[in-house]
Amino acid sequence: MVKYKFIGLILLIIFIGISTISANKEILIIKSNDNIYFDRMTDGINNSFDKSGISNTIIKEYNLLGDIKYAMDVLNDIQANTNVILIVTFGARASELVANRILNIPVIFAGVLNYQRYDLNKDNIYGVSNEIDMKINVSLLKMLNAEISKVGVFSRDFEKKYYEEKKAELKNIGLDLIIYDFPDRTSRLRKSIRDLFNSCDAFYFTSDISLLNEFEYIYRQADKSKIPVLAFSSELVKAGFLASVSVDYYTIGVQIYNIINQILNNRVEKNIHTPLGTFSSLNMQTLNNLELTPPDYALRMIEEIFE
Amino acid sequence: MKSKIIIITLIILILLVNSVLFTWSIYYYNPDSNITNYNLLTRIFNDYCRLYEEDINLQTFINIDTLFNQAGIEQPDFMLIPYFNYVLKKNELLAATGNSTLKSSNVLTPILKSGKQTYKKIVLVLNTSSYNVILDVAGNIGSVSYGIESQNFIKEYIFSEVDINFDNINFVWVRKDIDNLYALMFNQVNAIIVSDKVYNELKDDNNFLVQNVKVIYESADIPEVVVTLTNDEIDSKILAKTKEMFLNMHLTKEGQELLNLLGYKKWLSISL
Repeated sequence: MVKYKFIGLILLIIFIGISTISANKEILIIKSNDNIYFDRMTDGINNSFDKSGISNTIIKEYNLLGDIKYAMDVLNDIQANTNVILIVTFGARASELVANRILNIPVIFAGVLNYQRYDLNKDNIYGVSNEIDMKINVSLLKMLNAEISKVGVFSRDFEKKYYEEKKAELKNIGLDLIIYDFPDRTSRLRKSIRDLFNSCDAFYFTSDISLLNEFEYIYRQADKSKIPVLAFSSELVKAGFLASVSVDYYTIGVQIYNIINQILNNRVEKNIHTPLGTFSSLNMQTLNNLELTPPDYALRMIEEIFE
Repeated sequence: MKSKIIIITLIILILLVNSVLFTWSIYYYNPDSNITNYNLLTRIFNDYCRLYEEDINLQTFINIDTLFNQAGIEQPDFMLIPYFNYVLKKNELLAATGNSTLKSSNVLTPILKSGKQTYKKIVLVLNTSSYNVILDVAGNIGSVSYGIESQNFIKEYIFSEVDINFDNINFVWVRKDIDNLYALMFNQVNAIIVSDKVYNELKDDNNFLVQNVKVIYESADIPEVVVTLTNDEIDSKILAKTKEMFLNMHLTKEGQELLNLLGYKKWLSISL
């Protein structure tokens, strides 16, 4: 009799244990594929997850590895799993797939280049964009050389509105953004570049394929005209442009953790956030060629310096 | 010939073992520092170590949780961390094991360029903001993170003297003050908490990032970072050498360059 009681007690403990485990809420992190930046964002989330803040919640990670069939299986599992309270997606593939299928659970995306190109504008979709606000980028120039007052940029028609807004905002820090239209023909671009360099103190090099194709020419012309070029990526700084400010992915992870907290506590202020963490790079040789002498603290605050 | 090879091999082995035995490590984390260019810090630090013909591995971290996780895997010999994180970690270890590898008697702390051993955290808002006192502030506030205990740091060290309703505040954690300043300048947050060391340096240069802001709160004094021993089994010579290197840093040109980079005048030995 005692033996049966003991077995019954054990079974009861196991049952309670299983019930407790299954009652755990789940937050899923779904990555499109292997990517070091996705790992940094995951670190940011995991390290920020305050044990006392969000209880009875576990984080599970999936890597779709670019496999569409596996992705569909994962999505089917998610739809059948009632414990999932929130999904974080990294990369365009995972974000788009999840956003199309999951309509009743909050989804937070990140690591998506130009997220506006995808169908991510839904009530249950939140996210952190992948692009540093241009104002922050251009502000670095001001930090390196307080005298800079006119910054030139090439704009496509669809970007006009965006740059006009930035122009108004940059006035607050004494910078005039001079917006040039891309010429109708690519063959006229070099002349436009020379014109821009003649009328501006600095140039903001955007991720436009026409400009990337003219990297060599822009680099040589900028060197000749002593024009500082601010790039969108540290690789271009390594190649010779003056400086860049790019996204700090760890901080995006921390921002995602903040958004999770806001959603779970019904305190969401907006759906799409801009990245708050920056990672700045500087080419020292270009700085010397330009004869710029930034204050000591500016050099101390730049994370990556190419000598 | 054979014996020569054996002797040479033995010498190489002895040299290798020696180099392993006498290389030691310092983990570094300080979100309130004026320096985020860790390559520069490591280079200047190595230049200084060369004076002593020592090869010390200064490993820098951008967040304290990663530092402590890593410390659990490869125990560093020393840590240079914020005072708050030192106290927390020490108490955590004491509570868990009744013993702490963070030794109170082997602690160094710097004197800042200001002559003090402390700094303050200040709360900034834009000049155009309607917030004039700290009690008005609500919504998003930017702050550098001190790990998962960040809110405790803020409550204990920054707002200990004011009765703030934290339910009305959403902290936006960043890893350096320059990101905080960008976030404020471009209206991503309502207010920011920054180190007065960073603010004063920018203010002295009339930098555009602090031209349109106002200080609405100043914390009480916060102790500066500490260098603490973390490895119980360290060779006593290494311990003595490390102390000597820090305490004599102000006596050489290379040491002064390192101190200048860190924003300090000299190091002191203290007991906590």
